[in-house]
Amino acid sequence: MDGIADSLRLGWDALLLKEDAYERMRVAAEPVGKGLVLIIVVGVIIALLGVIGTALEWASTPDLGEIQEVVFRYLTQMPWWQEALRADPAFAQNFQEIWDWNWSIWPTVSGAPSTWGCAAANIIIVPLKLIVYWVLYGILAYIFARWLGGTADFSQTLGVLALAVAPQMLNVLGFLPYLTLGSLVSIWSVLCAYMGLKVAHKLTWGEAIWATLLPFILVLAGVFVVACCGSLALAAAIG
Amino acid sequence: MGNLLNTLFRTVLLDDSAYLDWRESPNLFLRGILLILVVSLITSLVAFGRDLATFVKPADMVASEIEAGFDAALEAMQTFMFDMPFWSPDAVDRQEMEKAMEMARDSMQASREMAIQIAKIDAPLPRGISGFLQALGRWLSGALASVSGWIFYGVLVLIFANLLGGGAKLPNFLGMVSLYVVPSLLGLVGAFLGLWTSITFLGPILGLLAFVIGLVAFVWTIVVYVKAVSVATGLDTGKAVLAMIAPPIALFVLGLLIAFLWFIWIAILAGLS
Repeated sequence: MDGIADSLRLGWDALLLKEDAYERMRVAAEPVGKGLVLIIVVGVIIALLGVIGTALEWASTPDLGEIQEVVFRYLTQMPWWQEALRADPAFAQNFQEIWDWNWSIWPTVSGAPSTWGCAAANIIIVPLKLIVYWVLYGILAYIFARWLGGTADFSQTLGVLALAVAPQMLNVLGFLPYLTLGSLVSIWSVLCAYMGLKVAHKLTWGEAIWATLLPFILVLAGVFVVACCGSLALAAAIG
Repeated sequence: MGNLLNTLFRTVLLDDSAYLDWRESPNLFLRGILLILVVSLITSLVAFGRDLATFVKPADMVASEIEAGFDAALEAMQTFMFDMPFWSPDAVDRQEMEKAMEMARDSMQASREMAIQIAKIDAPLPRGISGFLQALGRWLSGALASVSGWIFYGVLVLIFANLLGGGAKLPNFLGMVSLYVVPSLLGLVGAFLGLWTSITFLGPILGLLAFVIGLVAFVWTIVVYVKAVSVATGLDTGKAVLAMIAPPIALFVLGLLIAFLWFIWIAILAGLS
């Protein structure tokens, strides 16, 4: 229990961009284990409070099934519906199929409250997602930091980058329905990663910025190249 | 608390010693976050009140507003289709127009009924509570968005300040420039005046006054930001101004570059196909 409290305290200091927190993590005996505990604890807390948020959002949102039914009923009373039926007798059935399909995806896309199943599954999915992102970003950031003259080893890098998960703690506000954090968590996480890489690898501010951003730039460049090759192949095929 | 408010007030008056006092405060970054949050919440109080009044409105009231809105739209459509002075009776096929109008009227009436029925569908929680939660969520989200904007812009300004020879630690710099938010408290006065713009005769004057107050708050905000950058990084005022205006210019140039590359790529693809 002390370990969890200690991890959360470290996470709070990291959130406030205190260099001391990153330094403590760098010199810790097991930075990876400590980081993993922090990520799991933060992930589980976010998911648990997310269940409350989902419940409140569900309770304050009108029944979407009822809305769907009302809209459909009135659509069929509009003049264009009768015109379409006269032109094509199969129109009603085709429309119904498209209508049902749209309503099966539209609520999720437009941010309607997720189901209880999704909210509960997040207790596993959220920490897992955070861990995968942490490890993948950690590998790339380590390579670039070392390339730029960094001195920390891989476990120290992973340790300080686990502190970049601290801004995820803001997601605990998810228990309030209709509250959106926007890009706040992402921006803050990048700052924490910058602080971690700068402190652990003893980089200058410029080197630390590059070490922080190069993993993102690499992924973006990869997506860009794939998109270019895809559009080129498509253009060649059409041409 | 009194000391803190006094320091903040003096920073707005561009008092050098107030900026130095603020710079020496412990936990400057945390202070900056709290300052941005509190001021953002205060300045958006009027908007919160307006949202609350909208979201907790009884279903019948919402339904009658929808009804009135649709009726006004129908009347406007009628005027547009039949009563425009520049349409001579020979220029339009009256019968066709009336048929089209009839169809549009039927569709709008069905839409009106549909909107009224939807407005009457209640959530499991009472409308007052769910409306309060919606307004609260929007109010807090706005304040958190201000924190994002402050951090994002602050980081970009610090990069340019460093490139221009200044220097400051990231959390201290962000805490320092958070002072820019204080003059925006004037926005609350502007927002309050904006509530009365529908009053005959006095309304336009209050609207103009609200605009002028908003403009003064905006300019003052920029001045405080420049001063804070200068104190935090040790740059002179000219370089501090440059560091502050450089991020939007850099982002604009980057956007242009990406658009240019995009057009070249489209041209290559068009050439191939």
